[in-house]
Amino acid sequence: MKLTNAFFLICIFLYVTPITSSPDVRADMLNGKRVESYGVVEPEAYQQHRFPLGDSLFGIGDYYLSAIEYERAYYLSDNQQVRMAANLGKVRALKQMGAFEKARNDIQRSLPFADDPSIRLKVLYEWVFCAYMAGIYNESLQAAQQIAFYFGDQKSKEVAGLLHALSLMQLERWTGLKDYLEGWTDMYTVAARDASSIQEMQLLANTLIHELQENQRPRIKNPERARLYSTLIPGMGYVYAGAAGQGSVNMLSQALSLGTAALLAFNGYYISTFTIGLGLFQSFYFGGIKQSGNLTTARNEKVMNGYKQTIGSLLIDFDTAAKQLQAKSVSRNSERALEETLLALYHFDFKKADSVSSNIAMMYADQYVAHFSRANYLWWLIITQPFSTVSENQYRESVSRSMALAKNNAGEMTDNQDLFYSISLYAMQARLDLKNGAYIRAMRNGRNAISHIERSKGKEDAFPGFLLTSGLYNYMTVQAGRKYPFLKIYSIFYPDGDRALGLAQLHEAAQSDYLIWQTEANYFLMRLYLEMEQEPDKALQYADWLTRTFPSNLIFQYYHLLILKALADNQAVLNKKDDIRFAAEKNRGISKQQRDYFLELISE
Amino acid sequence: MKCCLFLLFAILGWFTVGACGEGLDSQKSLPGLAHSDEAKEIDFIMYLMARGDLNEALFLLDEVSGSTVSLADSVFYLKGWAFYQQKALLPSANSFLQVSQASLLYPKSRLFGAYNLAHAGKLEQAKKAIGELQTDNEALLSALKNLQQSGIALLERDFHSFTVLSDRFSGRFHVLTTQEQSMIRHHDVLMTPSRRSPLVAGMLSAVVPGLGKMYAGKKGEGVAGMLYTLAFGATAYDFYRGGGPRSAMFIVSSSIAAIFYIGNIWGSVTAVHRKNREFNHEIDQRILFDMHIPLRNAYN
Repeated sequence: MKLTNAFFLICIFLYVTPITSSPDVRADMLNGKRVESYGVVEPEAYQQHRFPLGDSLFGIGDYYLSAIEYERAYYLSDNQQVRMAANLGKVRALKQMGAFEKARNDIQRSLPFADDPSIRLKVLYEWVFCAYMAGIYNESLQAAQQIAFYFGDQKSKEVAGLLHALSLMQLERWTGLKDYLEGWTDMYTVAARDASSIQEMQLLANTLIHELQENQRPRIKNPERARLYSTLIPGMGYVYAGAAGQGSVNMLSQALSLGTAALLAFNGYYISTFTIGLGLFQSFYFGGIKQSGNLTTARNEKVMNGYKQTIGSLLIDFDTAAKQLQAKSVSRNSERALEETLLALYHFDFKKADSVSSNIAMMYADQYVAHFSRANYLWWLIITQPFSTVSENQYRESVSRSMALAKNNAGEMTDNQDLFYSISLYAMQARLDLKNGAYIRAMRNGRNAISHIERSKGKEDAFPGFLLTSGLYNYMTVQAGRKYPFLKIYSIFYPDGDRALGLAQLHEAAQSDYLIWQTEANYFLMRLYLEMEQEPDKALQYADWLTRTFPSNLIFQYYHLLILKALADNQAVLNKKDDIRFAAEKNRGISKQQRDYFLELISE
Repeated sequence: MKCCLFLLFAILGWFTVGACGEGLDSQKSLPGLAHSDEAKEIDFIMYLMARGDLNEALFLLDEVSGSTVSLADSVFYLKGWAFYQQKALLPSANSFLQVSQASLLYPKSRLFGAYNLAHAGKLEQAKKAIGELQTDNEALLSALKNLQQSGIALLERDFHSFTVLSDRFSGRFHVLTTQEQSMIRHHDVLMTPSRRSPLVAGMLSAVVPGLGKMYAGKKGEGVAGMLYTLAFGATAYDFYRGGGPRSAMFIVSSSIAAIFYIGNIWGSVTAVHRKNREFNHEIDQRILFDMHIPLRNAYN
């Protein structure tokens, strides 16, 4: 147990944490691996529902057969979630075949069963996309409006803003498009912190809004008016339609036919005057009237198509700029949410931590920090509710997902922040392995964490978070080896530590002006002085700070109690127990199981 | 107008046949199939057909090996339906007619196969296909077969055979009664001698340009032809009056007038033929419609 504790400290500086269902069901569902909300389709079910065949066929580019196999999976299953995944797979194959009309029909059958928000969003998006590509713009607009209804304006614009705007453009709802764009721009203007990042988007928005103003839009000419003009003045309708050359020819033809009629009449051919001269004239005259209307219609179509092409290109540029801005904003938001989650956990407000971390993990499913945040919440849940049925697999899954995304996002993880999170993630994996007695795996993850710590050394000034990682490493490699000699064998493969330097770094982190580093450093110093240094009097000052700053935190309170016990201050111990009982009773952010657990702990 | 009406009937007829196909959806499985993987595959194919995924269904049907006679029959039958819903008459007939006599689907397949052939104008083959249908003295099936045969006889304009076959119309089955009466009416209409003669039409147009077309029932064409011919004739007269018979303008205009005049006479003759073809087409569509309705009612 003590070994576990010691190793824990090496692995764990962000000691908080835990789990939830990972919200990015979409990608997995598309791979046919997940379905249920949301659980996972078990491997047996995966095989049973013929997903592998559909996936394989899709993989080799046989989309036609792939669509059939997905349909079969849909047909064979009674489980709506399996059907959902199969239908999404089929739609994906149909899209590859360019069968958008069919895809839009098929996707709609899943809508009534898309209860989970992320799935509903996926289904609605596919509907918008396929309807737009099928040229059914009213329907794509309607589906986009449903996204806005269910997920709010912001999410709607992030996900389907371009298609929404393009649908409005195709339907020639110019005022609606202008309003939509203004709202879209405002959304990012509010979200953007620095003016430069929004500059490009603002410029594009201004250009677009300018182009959409009534006086900039192409003037649609009235075919009826063109016909009227040609009725009154031959050829004038052509000029109105922008075909002055053709108008001149028509006018000349009419003049020549009238001249012929006059010539024939002059020579006494009165019948021919009527049959040839006037016959030709009426032909040119009425033909000219009709043709001027047709030319006006064709001209309108051409001009409008050109205008739509311009607006469409600008919208695509705008969306690209918005996406870039959104990526920055997403990264900031997920970091903010991590901070919010940790502070909620420090204050022992699990309800808030759960809400914040699950929302952020759902909204920014492709951000590793979002899953990191969720993993932290889940870890705290595990350690404060040890008898609950919360699955550790969920925690492991969140950590793994976060790790995979971090690697994808940052490649070699050269950025300080990415490096810090990477160390944290390996440590988080290791501590669960350790808790479960999987020592080999824990050592492997620990080794990875340490190799990353090596790369972070010397960067403490640039990124104060490394004070924690380096501090713990420097301290623990010496002190743990001293206390548990067999750990020395393990540590000979790694660079030497420095106990004094480690403590100094932790003290420096405790003086940080960033509350998270400060709290973590105080916590580790408290535990190091209590458990490793056997100096409870020194540990007391850190415990005092922690319990004063976060009086609701029962973990901090509990360690404070242990320190008081170590100091044999019986009266203070009794008072602290009362404090803990009071804090536990009045805290509405924790569950009954958590409350009972801590009350039992202090009764020992 | 009547032509349009009949086309509409014919189209509606197709849709109702489509509905027959969709009726398959309510069928849990085809008769005679063991509960095997292939039977499950057939169920899936029927599901696809009910969804309207006909190409996919046909694709899978080609993959089914048809290891037993009953399975092969099911495959042929379903192919027949799928092609039928795609309005591919000959492939549909070809598939339907391959269903073996031992199958419960045989009578239905044979009737629809023969009907498809008749619709595609393959009357000899249709007659042969329906003639091979064994009714085993089953009254309704016999009556259906008789109606189809009488319809084919009418399409062939074989009035003698029709008279023989129509003598067997019993009026006993409500699904057939109306169509039996209709067939007799079609026969009566066809037997009524046409009052329009190409010769008369040509002569009328020779006397008064355009009148022959009006006689043939093409009033619009007649009026237009009359106006053009008269206009060119009048122009020729005008130039004759002004320039004499040797003037170039007279020769050109009178030549044009003559072409229009003769063309109008010839057009009147062909108008009668066209009108007759249209009439025959209309009556054929009615006959086919009346052949199809009882099949739909009996097998829906």
